[in-house]
Amino acid sequence: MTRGAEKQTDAQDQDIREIPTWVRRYAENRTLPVVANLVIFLVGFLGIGGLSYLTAWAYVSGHRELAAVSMLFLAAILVFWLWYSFVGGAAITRRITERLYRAEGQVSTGVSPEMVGREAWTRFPVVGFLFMFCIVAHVGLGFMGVLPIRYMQPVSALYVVPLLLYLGTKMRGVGSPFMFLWPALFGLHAILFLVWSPIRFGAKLEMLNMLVPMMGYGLLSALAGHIYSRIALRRLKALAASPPGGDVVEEGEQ
Amino acid sequence: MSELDPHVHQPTRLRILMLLSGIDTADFNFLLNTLSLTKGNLSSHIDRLEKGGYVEVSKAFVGKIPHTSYRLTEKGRSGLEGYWRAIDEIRASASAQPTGSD
Repeated sequence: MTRGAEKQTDAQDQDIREIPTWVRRYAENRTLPVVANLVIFLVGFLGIGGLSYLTAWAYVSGHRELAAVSMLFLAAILVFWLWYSFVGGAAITRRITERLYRAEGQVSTGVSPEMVGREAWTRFPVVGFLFMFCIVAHVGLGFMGVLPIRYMQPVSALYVVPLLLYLGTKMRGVGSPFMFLWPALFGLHAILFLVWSPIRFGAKLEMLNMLVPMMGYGLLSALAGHIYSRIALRRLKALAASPPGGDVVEEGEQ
Repeated sequence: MSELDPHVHQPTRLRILMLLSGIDTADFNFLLNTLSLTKGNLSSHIDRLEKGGYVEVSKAFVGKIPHTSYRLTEKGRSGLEGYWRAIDEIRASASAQPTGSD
């Protein structure tokens, strides 16, 4: 073999050896289902918020029938929310994933050993309970006036950032590394909010100071992952495309 | 010197195995799109890998649509490792010998 031909073979081998890295990068960063889930949660949250406001307004202003109907819808959304969170969410997410990536095909990265470990599964409910406790205590303190509403987002960062970091670490090797941007940006926003208030919703919209960074940075991180998955797929196709004549099955092989 | 495994030492099959080695499972459509093959060719290569025990095939229904996914077996993983080891050995011994073109 001449030195030129040797170099060409080396380069081809190097390309093939890179395939596992790029297929994994692509698979980990298929984050469109995360975007879809965030949108579902946002719609649910806005629905609950809007219907709560409508129910309260209708009740106070004497429109009892409207208040009753609104309350029924509110109850229906809450039941759906609970069902989605604990029962049907996983199946819906799987269906969304299949539909979104039908043209590209399905891949799975598998579950990391940490995720399937018995210890991890006993720890998840504890973390979930602690998180819920923090939210209830935090929002309760805000409504009671103990915690000024303008400090809601910075205080929420004290438990949201560790939770997102914990989930990101547990999902390592399965989920997108870009999702680590979420706690980083949320934490940075909290610091900037305290010292400079870069984005500030005032008066009646104070709660948006928490909702917009929470959802916004989540969406931003997921979209960054999605863009990277496009780059990874392009690279992967270039590496994995069969060489001319390489897809021919040799005689007697079939 | 190690011999090259004929199941692995074929450009398309090597690529299929390398793809599957980076993930847990992939379906037929993903392999088809990524490798730019015809359905018939991909089926033939997968068939050979499955018969050799290098790839495990799972068939299921998603709703009413049949869905086939593939996973690299332990034999497939060790086959790949052995293949690259053999290639590296061949390279090393070839570069140790003076070539005629030099």
